[in-house]
Amino acid sequence: MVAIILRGAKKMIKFQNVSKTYPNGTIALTDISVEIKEGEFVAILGLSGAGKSTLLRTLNQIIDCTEGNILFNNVDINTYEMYGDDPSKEIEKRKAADPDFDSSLLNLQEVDITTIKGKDLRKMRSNIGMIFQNFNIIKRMSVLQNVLTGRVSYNPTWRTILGLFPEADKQIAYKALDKVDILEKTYHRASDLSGGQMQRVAIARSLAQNAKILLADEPVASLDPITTFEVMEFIKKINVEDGITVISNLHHVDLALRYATRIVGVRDGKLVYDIQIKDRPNKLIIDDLEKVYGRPIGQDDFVGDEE
Amino acid sequence: MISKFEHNLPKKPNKTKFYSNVIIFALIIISSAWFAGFNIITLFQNFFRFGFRLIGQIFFPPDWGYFDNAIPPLLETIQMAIVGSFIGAIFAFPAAVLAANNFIHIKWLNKTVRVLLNITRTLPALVLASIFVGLFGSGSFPGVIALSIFSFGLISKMTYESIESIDFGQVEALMSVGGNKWNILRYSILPQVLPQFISYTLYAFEVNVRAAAVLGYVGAGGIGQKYKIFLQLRRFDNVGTIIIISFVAVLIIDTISSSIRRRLV
Repeated sequence: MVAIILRGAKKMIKFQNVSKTYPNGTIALTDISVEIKEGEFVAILGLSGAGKSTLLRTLNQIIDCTEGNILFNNVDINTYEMYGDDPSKEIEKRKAADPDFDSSLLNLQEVDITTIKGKDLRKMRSNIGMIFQNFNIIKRMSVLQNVLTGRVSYNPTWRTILGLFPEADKQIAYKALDKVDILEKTYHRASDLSGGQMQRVAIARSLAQNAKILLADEPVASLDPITTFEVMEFIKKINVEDGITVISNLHHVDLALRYATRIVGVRDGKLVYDIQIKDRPNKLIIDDLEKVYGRPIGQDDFVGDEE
Repeated sequence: MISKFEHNLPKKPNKTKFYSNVIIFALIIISSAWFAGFNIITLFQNFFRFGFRLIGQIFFPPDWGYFDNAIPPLLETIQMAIVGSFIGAIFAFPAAVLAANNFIHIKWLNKTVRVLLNITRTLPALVLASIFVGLFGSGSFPGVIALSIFSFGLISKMTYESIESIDFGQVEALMSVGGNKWNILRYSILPQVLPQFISYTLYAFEVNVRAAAVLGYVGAGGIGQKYKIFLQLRRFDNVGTIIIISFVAVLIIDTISSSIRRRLV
């Protein structure tokens, strides 16, 4: 137990000198090093093309990095499940859900996601949910089926191909849908939903996969202002209530200031700014961001007030 | 007032290229007709000399008494088309998946499958049918095999192009939940291409009905066998009946099938 607590002193996610050059020669990321604690809400700001999307996608290795390492703390190397910065909390939670859970079998190690492949990588990814600007839900399937895709890595392939998810998984899906207030749409076809509802289904999918980290790639960029706040509130809710670490690319400075706990600025693939929001007055942060953007911060960088 | 703008107008686009393309195109058509021995005067002469009489023999009147006998071979033709497109479609989907370069990133495999698909598409159904009649003897079985191969080539080609144009975001979503290739195929690719795939299969079915009607000419079953027999016997009135019911059948099938396809995509 002592050893675990010592490891717990490390941070959940650690980028070490990560660089990415695309095959066509475009340099997307240069020497990014950053550490993120469990439970943080990190907003990544920067101009489009600065490398924000690439940065998010290297974290779950949908895009591999050319150089550097991305380390995750306290991963059980038998199952590749993440136990977070304070494993005792997660162990307690698991014991409550399953009395037979045996924490002595755990082998918590620091895992470098850039070095693992195949099945191990897929198991690792199931800890990391992702939502997108275009929602990327399956429009021709029901809301329930969409959320159940979050369970594919927990089931044998033949079951997932036939769509035969066990009842326990369905219960997980209902719970996730309830969390984002959309349970009444369970049996609706996803294409019948509005943009905001689709994004909530995508959040539910991440909850169903039991994600410890949520990557949000411009989650509200295709939503109107009112729905924008709705969706941001749900992201904040799972961040606060479930302790899910959120890393989100955002367009709007006011959303970052309002919902995030930390702002990271990216410019030309380099990390140029990193601040805890509570440590500095908002007005000064906005001034700082002019350097990140390389231009004055204007009306377009704000969503505006919630009506 | 309007004329004031004229000197500010950008220069008119050069049309030389357009005209030269038209001339080249016309030359190709005229020379092809010349070499193929096409002669418009012969066309009209022969039409007036023999055509009217032939049409008269076929349609005025067709032998309606033959109607009942023409139905079974017509049904056989349609059955051949159904089975052929079905078998073709079953094999076409996996082939399309292997040929699509955004799902399987093994270049030599994509290319090899594509070459095979192209070969199957260059062989006309009639040629395939004659080969299989030689192999298996006459009857509808070689016809079905010929139609299966023909549909396979058609459906797989169009399907792999659809797979290559899917929205990749949904693939990213399945990757991010920890899905494997089978999960991606099932949840990202299949839902996106299934309507198109069904539509292509129906289209292959439409083409097959028309192709199957002549396959009998080389002994591969269906209504085409009757064409051949009655043309040889010079029973043009019976040929007339066959033409009319085939036409009606094709018309009905095309109408139904294309209205389903419109609703699918």
